Amino acid sequence: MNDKNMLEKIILPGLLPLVAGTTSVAQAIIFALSCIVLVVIVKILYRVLSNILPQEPGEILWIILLSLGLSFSFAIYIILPEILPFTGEHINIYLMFLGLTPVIYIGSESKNWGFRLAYILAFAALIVLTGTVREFIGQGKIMGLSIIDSAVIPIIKGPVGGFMIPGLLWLLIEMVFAGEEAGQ
Amino acid sequence: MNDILTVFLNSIFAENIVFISFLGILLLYKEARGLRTSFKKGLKFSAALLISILLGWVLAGWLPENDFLLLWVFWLTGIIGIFVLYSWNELRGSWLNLPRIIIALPLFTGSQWIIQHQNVEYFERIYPILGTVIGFYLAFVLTAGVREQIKISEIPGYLKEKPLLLIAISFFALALIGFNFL
Repeated sequence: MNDKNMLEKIILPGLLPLVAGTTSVAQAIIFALSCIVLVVIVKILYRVLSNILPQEPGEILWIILLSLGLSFSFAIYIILPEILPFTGEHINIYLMFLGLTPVIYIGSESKNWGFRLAYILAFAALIVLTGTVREFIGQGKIMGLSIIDSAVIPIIKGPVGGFMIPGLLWLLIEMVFAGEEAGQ
Repeated sequence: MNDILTVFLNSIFAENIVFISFLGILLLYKEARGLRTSFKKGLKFSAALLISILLGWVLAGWLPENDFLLLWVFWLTGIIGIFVLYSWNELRGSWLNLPRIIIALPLFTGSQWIIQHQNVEYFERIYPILGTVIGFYLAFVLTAGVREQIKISEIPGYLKEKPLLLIAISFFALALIGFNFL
């Protein structure tokens, strides 16, 4: 797998949190950390379920795993604002549906924890980067601290920015790769 | 304008399930390919979505107002909708070693949740349901059309397909925000 394919395999499975959970850095961090927690839970659950269920359980295992994943992401959505009240303003319903996103389940069957952790950390870094850019362009802030008062584009805070900023970042990375390939 | 008509039009445009509410974006990326095939394929996906939302709507009317219970009902009705698609030879096989059905799950479950939590009377909820399904169909066909145009356009190879499609979708979202006056 080359780097370009890897990038696509990081972005596409996590497209929903990437576009819907990156209005601000704080929101992106909440989504990124929730992803990491869910990945660890799902990986453990996969191990347990594959031992309990008969061999070659196929899609039954995945449906059970997905329903458990959804329940855990719902639990995070409900519990997080209770134990950390400041997170309340950054949470939206897409946190609840994190348990249905492919990025949580990729590599669950692999015994290689290192690859799985590297993968989800790369995704977490990408989501935080997107959140930083969106907050800066959309609100002129980073981590809630005002950096610029003018020249902000408020529309970036909404759905337009949700699609445009990850798209532009992806395009930029593709252009860098294309430039490197042309240089070689 | 009539309130019900406003709710219906809002669900198609200003609150479009894909371009504004983000649900089903991965499904469009993976399934909306050629414009010609997208008309029929989009109908299949929209019909299955309608079945699962209608089922969820009927069941939600009987059940007590409990979010966790509702989520599970919507999850189950979403799975039913996806198995309908499966029986129509859609979403078969795997993607990145995961069952392909996973790409449709956020849309099939999340759309029901969004409709259920709209401030609309129970029996009037049929209008946002229909609006959501029509909005999804439009998004499906539009995305397939844009994708085809990007493919045949004379731009460098690395610009084609995925990143540019995401940027094109952001312009659809921008256009739909214009319907906020509804």
